[in-house]
Amino acid sequence: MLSMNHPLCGLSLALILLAAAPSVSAAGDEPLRVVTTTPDLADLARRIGGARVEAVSLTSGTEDFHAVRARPSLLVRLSRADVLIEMGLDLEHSWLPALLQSARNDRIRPGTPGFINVSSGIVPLEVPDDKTRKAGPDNHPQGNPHFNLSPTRARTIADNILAGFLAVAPAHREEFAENHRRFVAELETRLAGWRERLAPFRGAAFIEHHSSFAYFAEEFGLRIVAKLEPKPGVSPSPDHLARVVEIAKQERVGIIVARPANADLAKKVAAECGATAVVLPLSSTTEGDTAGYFEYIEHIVALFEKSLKR
Amino acid sequence: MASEPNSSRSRGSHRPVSPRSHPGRDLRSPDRDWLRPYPGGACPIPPHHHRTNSCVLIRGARLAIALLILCGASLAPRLAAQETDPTPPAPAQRVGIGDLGQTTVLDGTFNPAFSFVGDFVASWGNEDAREAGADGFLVRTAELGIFGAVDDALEFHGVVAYTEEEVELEEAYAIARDWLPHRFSLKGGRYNVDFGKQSALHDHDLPTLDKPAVLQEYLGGTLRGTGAELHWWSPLGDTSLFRVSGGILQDADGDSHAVIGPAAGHEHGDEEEESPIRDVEDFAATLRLTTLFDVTESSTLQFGASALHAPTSVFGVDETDERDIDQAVLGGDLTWTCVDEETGGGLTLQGEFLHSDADFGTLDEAGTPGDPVDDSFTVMGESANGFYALAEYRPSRRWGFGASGGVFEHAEDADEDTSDIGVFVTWKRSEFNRLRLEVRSYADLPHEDDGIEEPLDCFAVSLQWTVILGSHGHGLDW
Repeated sequence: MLSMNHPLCGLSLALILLAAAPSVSAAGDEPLRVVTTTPDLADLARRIGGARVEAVSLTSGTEDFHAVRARPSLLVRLSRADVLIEMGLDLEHSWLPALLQSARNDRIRPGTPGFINVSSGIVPLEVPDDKTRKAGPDNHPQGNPHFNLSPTRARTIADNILAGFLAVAPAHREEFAENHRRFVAELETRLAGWRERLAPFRGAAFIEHHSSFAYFAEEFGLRIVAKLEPKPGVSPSPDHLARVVEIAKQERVGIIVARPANADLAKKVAAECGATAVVLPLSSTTEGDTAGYFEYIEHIVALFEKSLKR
Repeated sequence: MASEPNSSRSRGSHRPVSPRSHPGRDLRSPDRDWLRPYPGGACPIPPHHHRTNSCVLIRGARLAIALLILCGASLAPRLAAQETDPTPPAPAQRVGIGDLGQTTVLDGTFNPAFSFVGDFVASWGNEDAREAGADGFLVRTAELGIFGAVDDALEFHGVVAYTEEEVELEEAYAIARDWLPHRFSLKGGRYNVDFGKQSALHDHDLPTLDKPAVLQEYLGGTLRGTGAELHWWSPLGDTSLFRVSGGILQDADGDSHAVIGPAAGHEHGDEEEESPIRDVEDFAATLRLTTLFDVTESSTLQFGASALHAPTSVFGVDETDERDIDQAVLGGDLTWTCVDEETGGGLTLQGEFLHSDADFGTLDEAGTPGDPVDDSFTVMGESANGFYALAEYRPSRRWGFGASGGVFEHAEDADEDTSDIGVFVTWKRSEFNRLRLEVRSYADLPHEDDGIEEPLDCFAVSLQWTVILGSHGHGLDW
C-alpha cells in the first residue's frame, strides 16, 4: 500500500482542500459576466444588456478567427462567465471547444441557457457541395460564418442575444426588451442610410481574398467575381492570380478586400488591375476607428462608397 | 425521428430560434412586426419556460391557420378522388430505412472520431550518422487515433502506431472530466505521462524532427505508462493560471521513435527495454506543477516543474537476491510564446532542464560460468544533468525557422557528455500537410554496436513529411 508519507498522499490532500474552496458566482444584482468570441458580439451584448451585463470579447477583432491562440486569460474568463456568446457555423472550431472543455463552467456549456449561438436562424451562404478537405483545408462545411457583415442578420444576432439574456436573467425582461427595441430602431435607420449610399453601386463587382463578404455583398446588391484564394486555405499560384487580374479587368473591379495578414497580396493584385486594396478585419475591433458594430459597418460602407466602380 | 419544431441548424444550440433572416428583406417590412415589443413590454422571444405566453399563442394560431389552409389545399383533390373511387388508400410509403426506427444492427450514429497520421522521414549523413540510424527512407509512424464519448462521464482515447518494426498500442485511456467537480479530471489506462513540455507530445507534433536528446537519455523519449493521473487547474488572478497533475504508474518506461539520438532504435516492445512490472508499494509516481501568464495581449510565459520517482526491485545474482533500483528525474521548463494574431506567425523560446538520479545494477560473472555462487551484483547510483533550448520564428502560419541544441551528461556515467545543435525549416502547405528540413550535428553520441560502446560524431540532413487525415485535435498547449 502507499504510505501516508508518499508524495501523492500530500498532493491529494492539497487538491481536496483546494477543491473545497467556494467558487465565485454572480449573484443578486451584479452584472452578468458575458464573454463573447468577437468584439461585434460584445458590442451587441452591451447594447442589449445595458447596465445588467459586463461584456468582454475574447478576441480583439483583427485575428484570424479560425486560429486564435488559447491564452490563459481566455480560459480564466470562460471559467468565470455567466454567459458565452459565439458566432457558430464553425468560426471558432479550432480554439473555443478546447477552452470550453477545460473551463469546466456549467453555466456556459452548450445546451444551457448561458450558451448563446447567434447563428440560430441564420441561413448560411456558400455552403459547399463538397464537404471534404479536397475543397480546401479551410473549407467550412456549414457555410460562410461571417454573417455579422450583413446588418439584416445583425438583427437575428440581436434576437438571439435577447433570447439568451431573457433565459438567464428573466427578472430584467423589460429592460432587455427595451434595449433591444432601441438597437433595432437604430439599426433600421442606419441600414436605410447605408443602402441609400450604396444603391448607385448595385451590381458593382469586387474581389475578396477568402470567402468572407458574401453576406455583405448580398445585403447591398454587390457581386464577388473572384477570390485570391483558389480554394479556402490554399495560397494562390501565379496562374491563378493572373486569371484573377484578367477577371478584375473584365468586370471593372473597384475593390479587392483582404484581412490584414493578406494585405500585401491584395495590394499587389490591385496595382495590376487598377483596383483599390481594402484591408478590413472580419469583425469590429476593440480599439480604433472600427470599434463598435455600427462604426465598423459604417467604415466598410464608406470604403466601398469611395472605391467601387459603377 | 421527428425533428424539433425549432431545431437549430447550428450545432450545440437549443435556444429558441429567431425568424430566419432573408437576404435583402427590409427590416421595416410588416412581416417582421411579430418581433416588435408587444404592448406593455412583453417579450418578443420568450424564454424556454415561458413558451405558452400570449406571443407564442398568437404565433401558434397564425401558424395553425396557415397549415390548415395548406393541408386543405393538398387534401382537396384526394378527397374528391375518394368520393368516386371506393378503393382503400394504399399504406404510407416507406420514406427510407433511416426514418423507420431501429432497422439495422450496424448503426453508425455513435461512431467515434478517427484520425490517421503518417510521419515519414528521409535522412542522410556522414558515416557515424548512418551508423546511428540516419540511413535513408523511413516510415517512422503511421498512427491511428480513435476518440469518442463512452457515456456522459467518460471519453475514451486510443492511439495505435505502426512502425517498420512493430505495431504498438501507444495510448488507450479513459478520461473523466465533467463527471468530476471543481475542474478535476482523471485519466486512467495507458497514456503519455504529463512530464515537462515535450515528453508527452507525439513525435509528429514536435517542433523538431526528434525529441530533445536529454529527454531521450533520461526519460527514454516519451515517458509512457499504465496507471492513473489526476489533473486540476485554477485561475491565478485574471490573466494567469496554475495547473497540477499527479499520477501513479505500474508500468512506466520510455518510448522513442527517434531517428537519431540516444534513444534511437529503442522502441517500446524491445524485450531488452521492457520495463519491470512493479508491486503496489513500488508504483512509480509523477507530479507536474505549471503556471502560465499572459505577459501581454500577444505573449504568454509558462513555468513548469516535473518529477518522476520510479522505485523498482530487481533480482541480483539470483531470485533470492532482490535489490532496489530507484530512478528519479526532476525537470524544470520555461516557454515564452509571442503570437502575431493577424498573421498567425510568432516566436517561441523554450528550454527544459533535467536532473537524473538513477541506480544501475551491474552483474559481475567473474567466477565459474553458470554458477551464481561466486557472482556479484553491484548497485551504484549516478546523478546527471542535461538541458535543451529551442527557438522558432514563424513569419506566417505556413513557415517556421528555428534552431535548437542541448547538452546532457550520460545517465549511467556523468563523466561523459553529449551535445547536439541543429537548425530546421518547417513549411505547412496546410494544417494537415507539413514538410520539415532539419540539419543536426551530434558530438559524442553514445552508441553500442555488438556490445562495444563507442561515441559517434554525427552530421545528418533529414526531411520529414507529416500528413494528417480525419479528426484532428486542438487541445490546449499547457
